Amino acid sequence: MAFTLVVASKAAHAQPVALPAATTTSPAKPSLSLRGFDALATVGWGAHTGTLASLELAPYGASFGVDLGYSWKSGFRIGGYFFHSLGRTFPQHRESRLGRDFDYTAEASSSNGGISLGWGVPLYCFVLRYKLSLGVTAMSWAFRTATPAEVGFGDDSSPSIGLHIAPGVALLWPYGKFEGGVGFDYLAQIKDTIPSGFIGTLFLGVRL
Amino acid sequence: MSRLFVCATFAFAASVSAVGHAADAAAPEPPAAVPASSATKPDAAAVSDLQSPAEVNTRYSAYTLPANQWGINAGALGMGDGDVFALLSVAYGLPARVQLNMNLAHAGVGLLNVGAAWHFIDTRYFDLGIRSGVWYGHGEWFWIANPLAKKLLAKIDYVKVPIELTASSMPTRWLELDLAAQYNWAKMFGASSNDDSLFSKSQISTIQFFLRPGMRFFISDNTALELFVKLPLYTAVPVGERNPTIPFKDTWWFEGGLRSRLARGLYGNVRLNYASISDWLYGARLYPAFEIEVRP
Repeated sequence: MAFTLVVASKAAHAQPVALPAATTTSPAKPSLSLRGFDALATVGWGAHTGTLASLELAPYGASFGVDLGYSWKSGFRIGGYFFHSLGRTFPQHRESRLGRDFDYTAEASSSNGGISLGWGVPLYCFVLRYKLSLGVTAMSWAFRTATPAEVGFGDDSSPSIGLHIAPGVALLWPYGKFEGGVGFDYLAQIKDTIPSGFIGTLFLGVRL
Repeated sequence: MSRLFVCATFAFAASVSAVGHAADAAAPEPPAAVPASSATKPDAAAVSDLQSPAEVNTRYSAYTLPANQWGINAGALGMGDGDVFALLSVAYGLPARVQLNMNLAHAGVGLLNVGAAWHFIDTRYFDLGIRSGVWYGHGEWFWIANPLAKKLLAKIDYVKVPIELTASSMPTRWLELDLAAQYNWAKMFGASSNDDSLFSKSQISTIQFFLRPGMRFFISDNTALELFVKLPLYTAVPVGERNPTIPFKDTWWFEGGLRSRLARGLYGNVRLNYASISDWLYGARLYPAFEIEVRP
């Protein structure tokens, strides 16, 4: 029911509010169509925003993927996304309360995908798209010269798989059949052993 | 982090439902006349944009909902008193620029907060509002906390009464300035002074006085960039006899966000917060929050 109402709703920019006669109105602006299917390639950079106690895992870094979706006239959009992050390697030192201190290296990368709900708002010649994504992260990891237990990672095995919720915003520039822009997503990870991350993204693709 | 999932899922479901209702409101029908809360603001009241009384953001501002206007907010991952973890609030505008509100999401996890606001000075360039309420927490019902916090909180109840004075000004068509001064009185029952470190980290029910300056840039008629910083001048935990204080570096926070009118009566808001308390709540100092607001 909610979905039906959403897709049947009118675009924000296409709803001239019938103001009282005494009020002022803006001059007519050229309409920016929001309806259509878009397929976007994404390239970005991500950084982890948390640590697991003293362990630092960086499963984001350079990222690339795709973002597909369909927008209704109202601006409401349903889409799907997938991106792979190469991650980074972190040399670290662990001071042990029992036994010897030691150096080790933590490697991590991740693959992320899911569905996203969005709403596009006309902003001059751009579209400002609010997004809320729900998806899965598969984080591959390895520790050199140490075991997971020694670095306090518990008994999880690689890859660690968990759900994420990702609010985000994108500023897109539709130009004919093409579309490009910039944006960010914040992957709030639900599983404790996967650090949350901030991903800045460049978009480039087509609108049909 | 499972509590995060529960909160966000709950808020997400509520958001989708709320979006549906707002979209219904967005159907092409003759709109109601814009309620004019101020006859002294001809410019702001005359146009339908985010500075108009019907659409102005009441969060962190002196403004209140117009009379007989409902406001429903759903969101998650917030850090403020009223929206931490999850937000599903209902607000209603009464005559004389008075507003009542309650966060139903918190009521579901053993926290009850009801509040009222009064926008009592309303002039063309300067507005003043006052907000207050009662926060009651029953630790045993706080099922959403992590196991350690749940074990600790199970023993306590707390009461908090915040009182906030907020000045707002719209000097131009593209700018709003806000400044709030808030004092929180708090009392905990059943807490042990041995637990003060955890209470300090979580800032659960703190006695606090803070300033919150902020500004909103209206970058178009339907979108605003909002920036706020919370500057606590005094924060103490009401545990034991000595009320241990929490230093400024652990209590300040910054937030930046975007708010847009998605459709008539429907608003979206995404924010990024940077705060020490976010580390305790969500495991990262930089964290997002999102919110959908419906004004049917």
